[in-house]
Amino acid sequence: MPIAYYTPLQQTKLVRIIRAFHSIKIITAAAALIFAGTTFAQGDETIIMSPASEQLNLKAGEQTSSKLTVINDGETEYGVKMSSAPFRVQGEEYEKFFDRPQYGEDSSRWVKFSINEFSLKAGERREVGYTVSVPTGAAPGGHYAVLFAETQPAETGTVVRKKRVGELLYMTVDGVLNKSGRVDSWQADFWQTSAPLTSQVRLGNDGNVHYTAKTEIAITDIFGRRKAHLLDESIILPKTLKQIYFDWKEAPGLGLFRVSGSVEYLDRTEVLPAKTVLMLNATSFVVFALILTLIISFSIYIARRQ
Amino acid sequence: MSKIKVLRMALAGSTVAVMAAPIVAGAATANTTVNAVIGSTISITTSNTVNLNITPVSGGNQTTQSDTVTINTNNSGGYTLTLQDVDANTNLVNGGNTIATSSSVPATPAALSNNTWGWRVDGLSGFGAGPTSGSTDQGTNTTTFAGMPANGSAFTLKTTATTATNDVTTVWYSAKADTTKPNGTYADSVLYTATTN
Repeated sequence: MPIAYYTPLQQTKLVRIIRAFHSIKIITAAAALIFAGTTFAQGDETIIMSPASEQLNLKAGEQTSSKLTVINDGETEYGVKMSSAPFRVQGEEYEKFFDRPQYGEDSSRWVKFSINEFSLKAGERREVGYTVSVPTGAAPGGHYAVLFAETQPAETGTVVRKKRVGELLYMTVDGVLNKSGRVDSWQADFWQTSAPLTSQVRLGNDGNVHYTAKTEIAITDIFGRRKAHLLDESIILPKTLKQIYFDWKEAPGLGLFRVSGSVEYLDRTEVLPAKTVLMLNATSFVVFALILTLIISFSIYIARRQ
Repeated sequence: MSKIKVLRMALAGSTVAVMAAPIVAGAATANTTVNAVIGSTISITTSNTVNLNITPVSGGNQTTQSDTVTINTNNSGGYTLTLQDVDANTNLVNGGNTIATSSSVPATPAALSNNTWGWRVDGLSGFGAGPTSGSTDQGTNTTTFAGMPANGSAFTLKTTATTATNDVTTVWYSAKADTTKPNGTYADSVLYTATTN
């Protein structure tokens, strides 16, 4: 019905309604533009912990404070529960377990959080303080624990997923510290058939406190040109042996290389002597063998004719 | 005379300026050191809800669904991801009724029997390469699954040795039920743990 058929008051109201409608359209269009490039996967739940590890120097009978940050980087609000647990490793592959201490007392009991449970909205972060109270009679040396932040989701479903991220705590209690480490072995197999070109270093710790080892591996060709430079930084726990692998993934299927390096630990640098590695895959080996056979056969044939 | 005075003053001024220039120039520099400290972080993300909706038949029907677990860390030593139940009860529970977890282990997984549930990751341990796909109400399913490890017996899903950016592990969950199971929502909680190496 044309607007002219309405009373002036009705016209004013009608105009206001029409303007409001256009405003909603504009807002909706703007929202569509804003969110067009954003993907909100329904149910995305993310928890972030920072730092992921920390080293603390402590004194027996004293308290030390520190903090960590928990971040909800997902789209869903959830509860967070803080906890601590002992941390140990097993085997040369350093498989981690959180059930009992590496040795000695359970240092996870020394940890108290400023808050044990809280809620995080999507996009929110929370700084959580904690204190480490070292008993008077604590043994000097290394003690190891993990601090967990665990989601308490409100989700339902057949399989409800809880997630936890951990900060590994490497603690050194002052006192008689026995810092003792060694390069137990250094190996690179001479003949390797396919990429990666692999070498291994085994580092041992015979002391009562952890140390950090920085290993550098350099791979050169027979003309001395550097082809790869591999780095590793590992913490070696007391009374353990850790195997560290260095893989040059881009190694060609055919080539002769020299692999050497060094390990820096406990105020010293130990050189890893150069080793020769022949990259020769099966196909190349067969081709070389055939060529060699032909050359030898031809040589014998020529010699007999002469 | 005044012109001579002006010239003398200008000469004296420029002489002073030349003498003072090195002093001024020498006092004009300073060094600032800029440090950027990048903290270490680790994050874990899951998406969607895992609902294993089953319409049971007398011979048993099986439903399979995936869970995408994504890890990010800037730790150069990589990370370790494990899976376990949140407690000692590894059954799917609906009040007094339960669906037991498979008795198989990852090294020797097996196809699910009626009224059991389990998990798998393609290419891990004895699960085989797959590929596994989601399905609903399958009467026959030969894909192998393992039982959920109880709390305290976490199974390692992945260990890496470098930084991780959106590194995905797909965990498949499956349950098989027949008509002897009362209807209702059977559920259990599992725990993913991510730590740096």
